[in-house]
Amino acid sequence: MAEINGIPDVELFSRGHNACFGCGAALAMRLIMKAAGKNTIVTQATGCMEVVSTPYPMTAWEVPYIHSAFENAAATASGIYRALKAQGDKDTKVLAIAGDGGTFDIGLQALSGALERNEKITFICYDNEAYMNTGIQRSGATPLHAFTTTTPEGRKIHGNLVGKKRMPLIAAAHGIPYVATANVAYPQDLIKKVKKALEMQPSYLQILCPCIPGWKMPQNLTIEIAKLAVETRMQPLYEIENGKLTLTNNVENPKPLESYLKLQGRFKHFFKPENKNLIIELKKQINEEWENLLNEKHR
Amino acid sequence: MERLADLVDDGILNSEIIHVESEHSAMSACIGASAAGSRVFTASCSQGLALMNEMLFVAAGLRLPIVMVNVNRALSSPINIWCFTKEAEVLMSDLTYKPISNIKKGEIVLGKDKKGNLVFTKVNKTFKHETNQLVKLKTDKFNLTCTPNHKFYYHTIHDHWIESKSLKNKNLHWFGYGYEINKDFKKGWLAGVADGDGCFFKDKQNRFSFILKVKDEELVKTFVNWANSFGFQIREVDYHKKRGYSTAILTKNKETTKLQRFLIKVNNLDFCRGYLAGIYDAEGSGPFKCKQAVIYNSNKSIVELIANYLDNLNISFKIYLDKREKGLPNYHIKINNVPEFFIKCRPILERKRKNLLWTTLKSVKSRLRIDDIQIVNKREKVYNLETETNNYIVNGFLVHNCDQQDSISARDSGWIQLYVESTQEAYDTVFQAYKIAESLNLPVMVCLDGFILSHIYEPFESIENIKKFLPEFKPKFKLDPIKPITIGPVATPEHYMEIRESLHNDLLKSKEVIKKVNLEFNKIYKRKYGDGLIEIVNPKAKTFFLAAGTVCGTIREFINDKNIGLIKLKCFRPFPAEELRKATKNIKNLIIIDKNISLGQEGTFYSEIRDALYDSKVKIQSCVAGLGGRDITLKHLQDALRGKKWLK
Repeated sequence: MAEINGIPDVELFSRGHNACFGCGAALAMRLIMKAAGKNTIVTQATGCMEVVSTPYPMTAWEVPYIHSAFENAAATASGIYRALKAQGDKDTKVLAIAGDGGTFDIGLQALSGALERNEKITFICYDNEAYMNTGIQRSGATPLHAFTTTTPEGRKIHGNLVGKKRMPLIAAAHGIPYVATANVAYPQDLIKKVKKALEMQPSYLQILCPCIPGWKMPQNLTIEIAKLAVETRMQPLYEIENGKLTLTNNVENPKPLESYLKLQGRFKHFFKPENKNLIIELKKQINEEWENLLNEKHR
Repeated sequence: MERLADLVDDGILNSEIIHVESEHSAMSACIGASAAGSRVFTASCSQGLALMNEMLFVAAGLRLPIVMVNVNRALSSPINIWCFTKEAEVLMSDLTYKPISNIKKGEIVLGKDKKGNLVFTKVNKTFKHETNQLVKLKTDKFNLTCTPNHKFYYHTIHDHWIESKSLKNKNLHWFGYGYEINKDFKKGWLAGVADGDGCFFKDKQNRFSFILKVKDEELVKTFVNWANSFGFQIREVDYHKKRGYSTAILTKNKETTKLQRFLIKVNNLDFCRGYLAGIYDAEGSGPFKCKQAVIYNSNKSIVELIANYLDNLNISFKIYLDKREKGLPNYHIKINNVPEFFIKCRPILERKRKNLLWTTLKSVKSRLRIDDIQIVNKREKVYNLETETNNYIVNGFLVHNCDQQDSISARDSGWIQLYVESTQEAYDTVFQAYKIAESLNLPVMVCLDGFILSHIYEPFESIENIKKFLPEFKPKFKLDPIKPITIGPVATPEHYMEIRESLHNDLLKSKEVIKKVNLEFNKIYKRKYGDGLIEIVNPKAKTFFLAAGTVCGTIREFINDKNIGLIKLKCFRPFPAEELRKATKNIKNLIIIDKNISLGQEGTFYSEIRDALYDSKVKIQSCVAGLGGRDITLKHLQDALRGKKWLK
């Protein structure tokens, strides 16, 4: 397989799908499929990527693909894996893909069940931090004080009341061999992690994907904003291999958080003079998360 | 599912079993596995089916040939189980009572089977939850606390179940109290068995020995067990299959003397009960056809002792001398009041105890008067058991546990629904279901009545050469990297209707397939179920019952000696409207039994059948019955004939 800068040139998520211009998640799909290769069966939860990629009678998927419901990607993947096992197929990889709603919220039960049963599947969450497909409603992945249509900036309550769920650590708590976070602005790292995840199953991978309408951002800034999420420690990049956590990007001198926030409409209210505390609280939480990871690392 | 797990874990069934965390995931995993080209199976019931509901629609929409069994049970709040407080005592198989809170899964208790016989039944599940309201029952014998809707067995002309809150001034069946098995009872039993079947003797090596030699392995095992518990080193010799007996032996001089001394008779009531139980286990014969229990012995002193002990316990008896046999005189001790003997003496051997138990049930006259009922508003933990017979005995009462609402509520999901009447039909229909499912790529749900069919032991013929009827699965399409396809895309209104229309048309077409499969099955295995869609019993009758599931068995019994017919609805989806029109062409009355209710409308079968027969002159009557698993009895069917709409 030919590679350019470590990125295979094979395309299994084809062009022509209905995603927005600059969609981070569609880019993630393309990169995931480059890494996974032809011998993969994909099952996907209901969400943006399912809707944009399979408008009947067309499909963007050049591998076998099944979508059935919102909350069951991990359970469907379990069924596929077991059927392959029963048929003696040891080579085909099973990949479940879901958005943050289908992972953090409604899909958590099925995911936990599959991880607990040690099903040899890879679960990838493309995380755009809210229910974007249905019109930007809050999910368990929405950052603290961020705007969504169900957590608007009000006179009394300013955006989302709680921080992002520590989903990768929850997955890791099942004692699975491989958990990692990735980001579309770091494609080589992302591809490496997808490959590793497919080797060390069951595995969980969470990829931060900027969403143009949901994050209220310009469509030409996808990579820049995604990169800033890492550089401001908003999204730490790490992997947990057999219980051992390693930061894959140390971010020794983090950039000011404001550089990330000011580019996105969903954080606009952070810059109102009366809302100064929002940014302080978010910063505090980010530091806590970072400290927690360092603690996990030295555990 | 538990049996399938056994088969998979024992390596008999070469299959993968996925221990999913929810019913929703169960159907999701089935969808995944079926799409990947495997034959799949799952089972669920009531709330579980409701949780699975979303995926039922998806499975049918994806055109996957999935087969599932749904065990029909009620579906709604209040959740359909009934309970007691922790002090309530349950009658165990050894006729002792044990607090309900201490009962564990797998223990054997007493219950009643469908025919009304008292039987041993296994506890499948125990429940514990909290309630706000309790009913206190004060009777002439004891007090009992339970939840207001807990059911009691109330025997009038017809058997039926009654809720605890409406028990006042009613007489209930009472099965009496058992007695405790204590040390004295055990000692007495050992002495009884030793006198009956044991022997103290000097063996060839001049050792003072004791031997017990009987056909019942259980007797020897219990003897050895209890003797060991008293410190005797008695040995059990293996069961001889050829010679047909089992032996226990003791060959040490000192030990044997100690045992002989230990078994000296005493005049203690528990010892008396134990001794009589032991002698009955060794030499008694249970009432099969005659109404008496008989103990046989040829030793006059033992016969006198038995007589003495029976007197001590106030059990009436008569002694006959059998002169027909030559040699030693043989005494027959006949006991007329079997229930009394049974409850007071409680034989240990299961084989002998069962016979007594049946007679006891038939002749029991003991009734219990409910003097007072109090409803108390109090928060307390309550307990219930789920047994194989759906009932069990608490403080001497028989209490009952266990609709088709769940699967009826899933009728629009695009699944073929087949309702079955017996275990044999359930077994056969599952194989037929795969054939139907795979020929048209439609999922099939086999619906069987919960508890009534799911928790019974019934003999059935198993199939050995199934491949003759159902060959290896060859999927019409599957997820395969060599030939990638996309299953489950997003369809806009432009396309959606056509997809639904094609599913609808194929579902209608499946009627012919179901009929064909029924005939094919009959050709190989010589069993068929009507035409596969409906079955007509007594076709010349003018009045017909129409029902689905196990209630058809009760209706068959009811119409046996009457000029009434039965239409058994086996296939509910696709709906056999034409077949029903044809079947009801020449009839006058049609009584429809619905074990479900579409709230705010009427029974679902009634609505649909009336719709199918809209231009017919048949008088159609709706009857709602058996909701929440309430027994549908012959009396209810009589009520239905009289025009009653709710068979309660």
